[in-house]
Amino acid sequence: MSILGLKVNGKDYEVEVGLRTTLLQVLRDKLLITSPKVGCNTGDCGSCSVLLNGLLVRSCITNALSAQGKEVLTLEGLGEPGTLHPLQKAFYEYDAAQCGFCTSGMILSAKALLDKKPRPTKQEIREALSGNLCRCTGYFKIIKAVMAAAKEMQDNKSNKKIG
Amino acid sequence: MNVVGKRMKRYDGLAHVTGKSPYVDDVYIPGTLTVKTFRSPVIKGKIHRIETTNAERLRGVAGVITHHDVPHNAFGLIADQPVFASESVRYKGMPIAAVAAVDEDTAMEALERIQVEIEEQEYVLDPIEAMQPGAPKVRPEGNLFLFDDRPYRKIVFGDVEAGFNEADFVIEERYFHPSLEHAPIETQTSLAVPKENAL
Repeated sequence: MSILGLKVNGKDYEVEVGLRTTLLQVLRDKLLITSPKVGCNTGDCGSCSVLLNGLLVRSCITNALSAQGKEVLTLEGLGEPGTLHPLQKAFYEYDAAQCGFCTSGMILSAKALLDKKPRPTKQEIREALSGNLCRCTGYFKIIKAVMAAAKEMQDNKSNKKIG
Repeated sequence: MNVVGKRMKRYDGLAHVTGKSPYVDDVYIPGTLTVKTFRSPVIKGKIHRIETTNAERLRGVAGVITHHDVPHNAFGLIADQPVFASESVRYKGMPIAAVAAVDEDTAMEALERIQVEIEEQEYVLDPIEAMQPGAPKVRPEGNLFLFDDRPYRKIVFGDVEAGFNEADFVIEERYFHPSLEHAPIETQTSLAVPKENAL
């Protein structure tokens, strides 16, 4: 057993982990942060995606100890009702979440894309989300929502500049 | 008439986009055990012995069950599928025993302690071959699924012969279609918590 110190959604935690413990197990089983899902648990479906120091990772195949001293962002840390991130707002407005199981991973993958590329093309969004499987909503509304969020974030930025 | 004719937002939409929607796997009940299944390593065979004592003795194992522990050992739309294999194995991966333990690692270790003696038998994997006379029997009652007394279901609309006779073209071919699964990421799951005189 080792002690893992990490920051999740701005809060510091210390947890006991084994050599084979995954970051997803730490988040869900130890910290009870449940927006990252156990979908395939083999790194294929993307429902466990989180940002680790800003980098998109599949937490089910990320060794917990590799997060030592790092910062994790999950959907809970992105925004709350009332202070929604533009991506959350757009996913809500465009009905881009049906059952909602893939939504957490989808939004974080989209955030990783917009952080790098604030004005992505449709094709770039499709490629960025290709590691996230959705089995009910379909991808059409999800892509529309990411386009809308990107536009809103760009508009906010230029408004700020003018102001 | 608060809803009819109006454009509504999903009642669960905000919870979905903020990670607050609770799924069954997100419900944390302290003391929940992890179950792992011992599955047949062979495709077809006769089971001579199932030895679970060593697995039961492992610290952290709450219990090991086999077909002995399932009084009505059959499930399915037509209940012909055993929960656990008892005398024979019909397919590779067929459940033979299950272990409940404090965590996944312990359950996996317990599986390694289960010993099963299986005498391998001749198998058939191809459905067309399985229909030939003399093919190895997958199930003791035979390889054909019967509707009443026929291995097929007859559905007839109109005069089929007349339809063929009047057709400009007749194409005869054999078509195969794979079985399809919806394959949702959250699979069917349920959680029951035993309480005093209730669930």
